[in-house]
Amino acid sequence: MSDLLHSQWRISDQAIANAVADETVILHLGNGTYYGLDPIGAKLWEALEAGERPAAICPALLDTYDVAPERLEADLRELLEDLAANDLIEPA
Amino acid sequence: MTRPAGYSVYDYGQMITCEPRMSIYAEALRRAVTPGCTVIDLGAAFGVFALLACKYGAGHVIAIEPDPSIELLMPLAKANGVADRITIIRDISTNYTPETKADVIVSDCRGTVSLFQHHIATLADARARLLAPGGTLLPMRDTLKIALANWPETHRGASQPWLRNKFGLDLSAGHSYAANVELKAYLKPRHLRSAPDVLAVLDYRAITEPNIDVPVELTADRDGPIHGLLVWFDAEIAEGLGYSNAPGQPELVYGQMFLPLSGSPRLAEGERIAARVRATLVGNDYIWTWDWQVRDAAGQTRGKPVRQSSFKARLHSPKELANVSNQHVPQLDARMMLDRDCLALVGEGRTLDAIARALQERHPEHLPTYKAALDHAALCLGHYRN
Repeated sequence: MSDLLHSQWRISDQAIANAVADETVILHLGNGTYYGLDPIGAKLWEALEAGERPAAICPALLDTYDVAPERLEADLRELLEDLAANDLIEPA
Repeated sequence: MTRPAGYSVYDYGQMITCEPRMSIYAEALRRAVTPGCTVIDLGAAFGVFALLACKYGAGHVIAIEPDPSIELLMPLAKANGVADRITIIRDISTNYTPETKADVIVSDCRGTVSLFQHHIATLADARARLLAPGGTLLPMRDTLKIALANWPETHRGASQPWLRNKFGLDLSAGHSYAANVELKAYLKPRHLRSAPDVLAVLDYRAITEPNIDVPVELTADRDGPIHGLLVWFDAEIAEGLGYSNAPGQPELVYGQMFLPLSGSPRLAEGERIAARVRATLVGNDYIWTWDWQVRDAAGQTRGKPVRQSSFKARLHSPKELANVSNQHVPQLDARMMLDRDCLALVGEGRTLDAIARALQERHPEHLPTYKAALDHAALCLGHYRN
């Protein structure tokens, strides 16, 4: 399986996102569950909506946040797994 | 069944004069009611259908309504000499267990359209538990319809304040919210830009599914901008008795629902909007989602697909959003602790006075006076009152 960060993803047709300030909430229409994304998660979601691969946002995030590259990539992979497990994104 | 707060007696008066709605309902009741039969007025408000059912000969009418508006029914029933035939249930119908099932159930729990709060689930439950075999449900069926609409005023209303204002302020962040607001409309035939298509048929004699997910393709009948999708319903209250809030029909209390199309795409005659329209009940309210794309007359897509949703129109604070997220870990705060203790005291069968005194004694730092404790207890228990 290719690396999650370099994979192409698409937003599930069950997911509706609403961004407020620098955070995002996602509603899964199928089960009525809300998912909250912190500012980094919101950036990831914005990139996925734009059709970008997750790895594309890493440089900008590393510039903005005081975080080690390995930690950031691990966090993004974990978030991608969560989003996919909750049927909010799927491999393109 | 739930009803939005805020209907006044004035509003209910408008419903009585809403024609042909009221006369159609009255005639349907007159035909359905047989001497001595049992009728349930579901979501009765102040009970005008209950009074009519009595007038037409019902032996027993049960008016079910959680809203305080039902308190008006008994004085009205006395004034009309039918108080002995009416039972008031101030509760939601799904909590009501009947002694005898009804021969007729009458209701109008719609909002702007028939997919409104728990309307579908309420009627499905009533049909299964409250209606006698062979009984009559009024209304019988609603057909939701959809068409392309040109309504430049609303387009300007959703865009101008946010994108252009004479004060030189950048308010553009508000535009995406405004562009997803579902609006109540009273449009005329001149506003339509396509023939209508059927969005859904809601047959209350059989329906159980509250949500819809429907593809539609609407073809522009002339060149010009399309500002949105207009949704309305044709109501069949009983066989041969109906009304509609379609453009061109008498204006009814419901209005119509307008779903704006972001950017107001300009279509040539014969071009289409291909849309997937979803109404999804989440909590107590419907989320409307309309995914759409322009197709040319040959069926080829033009431009990017667009996803719009009434969910995108809502402004929540990040804290509020966090509180409804499934990752949220709730923390017990002082108010929750007070509520917890208050409810535990209720379980001991105490008066409100005794509950307030006990709460004040236990939590003097939060409830320094008897009045504060009494107010808190009343507020806490108010959440559970009908």
